[in-house]
Amino acid sequence: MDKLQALHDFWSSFGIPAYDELTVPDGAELPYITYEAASDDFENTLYLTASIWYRDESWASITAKEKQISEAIGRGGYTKHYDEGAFWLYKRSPWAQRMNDPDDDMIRRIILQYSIEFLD
Amino acid sequence: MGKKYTKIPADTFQKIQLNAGVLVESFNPATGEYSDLLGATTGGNDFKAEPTYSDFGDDIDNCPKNMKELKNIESWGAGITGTFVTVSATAGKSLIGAADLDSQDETHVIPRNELKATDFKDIWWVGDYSDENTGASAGFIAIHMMNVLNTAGFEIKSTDRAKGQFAFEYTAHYSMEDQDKVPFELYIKQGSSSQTPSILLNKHSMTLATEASETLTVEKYPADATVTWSSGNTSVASVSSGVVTAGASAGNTIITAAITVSGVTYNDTCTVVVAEGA
Repeated sequence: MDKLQALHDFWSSFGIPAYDELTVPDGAELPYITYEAASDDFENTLYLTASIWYRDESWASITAKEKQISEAIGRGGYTKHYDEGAFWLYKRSPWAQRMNDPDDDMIRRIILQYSIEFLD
Repeated sequence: MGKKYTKIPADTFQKIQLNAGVLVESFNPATGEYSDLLGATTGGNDFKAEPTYSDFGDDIDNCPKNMKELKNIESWGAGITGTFVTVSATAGKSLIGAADLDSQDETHVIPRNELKATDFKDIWWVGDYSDENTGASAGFIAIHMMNVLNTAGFEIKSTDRAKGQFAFEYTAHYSMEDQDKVPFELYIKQGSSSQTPSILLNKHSMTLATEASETLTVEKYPADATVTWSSGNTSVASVSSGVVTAGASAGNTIITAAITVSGVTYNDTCTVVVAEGA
């Protein structure tokens, strides 16, 4: 597994589909997660975002999903193996921000900010 | 080809210390369990152990300095500095150093002018280590500091619209009871996965009619491991994401599902018989 596949697997491990934000399939059904697919070398810290997308009347479900992800990462961050090493992903401030879609009141989005270091 | 002198060790990710760590009153290196956090800190902690050297060659004419045979360690100075953002009466006693908790009023800390042996306590700093840093087999770096006393004095730094801060400088001390025992120790344990990787198919044999399909499912650990599917004879049956599809003619093949964890491959197989009219 390469480092981008490991990143995809991490974002896919929360029970809803996850897509590289540049390759969301046409017609993909909500809910899903989109994330920035990027990697770097040892010693560089990347500041990335991911978004949780729901179509719902309330913020309850999407907030529960955000909490699930937050708990998985924890205070100390989350490490995951890939073939050449492991990445260390941890929350950045502000961690979670709600956003509405001006064209659709039912769209719920929470943007997640995190840092990631590739330890290889 | 990369430059020869710009590489890092392949196991770097297994030997990195992560996060600020915690200060605790007790820690068991055998189990990795700790108890009684001293308090929440901010800005990390700074541990330093520094030897004081003497050079017997200093008094010898014409003797070069730093002759290894004449170098001597007189003692070690070891301690940890940092800043608490929480405090309690017990922590206040610890920060004051020479102090007692009022036996009649547990909110009351009474400083003393003289030190007592009971003012010196062992503490541990424990930090996350290696890529495996959660669960029962988590890696850690642990520093055991013996007979520590806060030698920085008691200080509250309060700021408008900010958390109060309590700086500490816990200094480790030798004991007359064991004068050769350096008052700190270091433990480094690399983490390991607490569960052996595994993969198990829901079926180990199946019979399919030609051009029919059936789905295999897997149980695996780690749950996020990527499964690689393969068929021993794709003309008999092919497989993609667990969906086994028989070809147009009869025959036998073996479907393999595999995961690779830390360079080791684990697999399980299912024998597929394709029969016309099955």
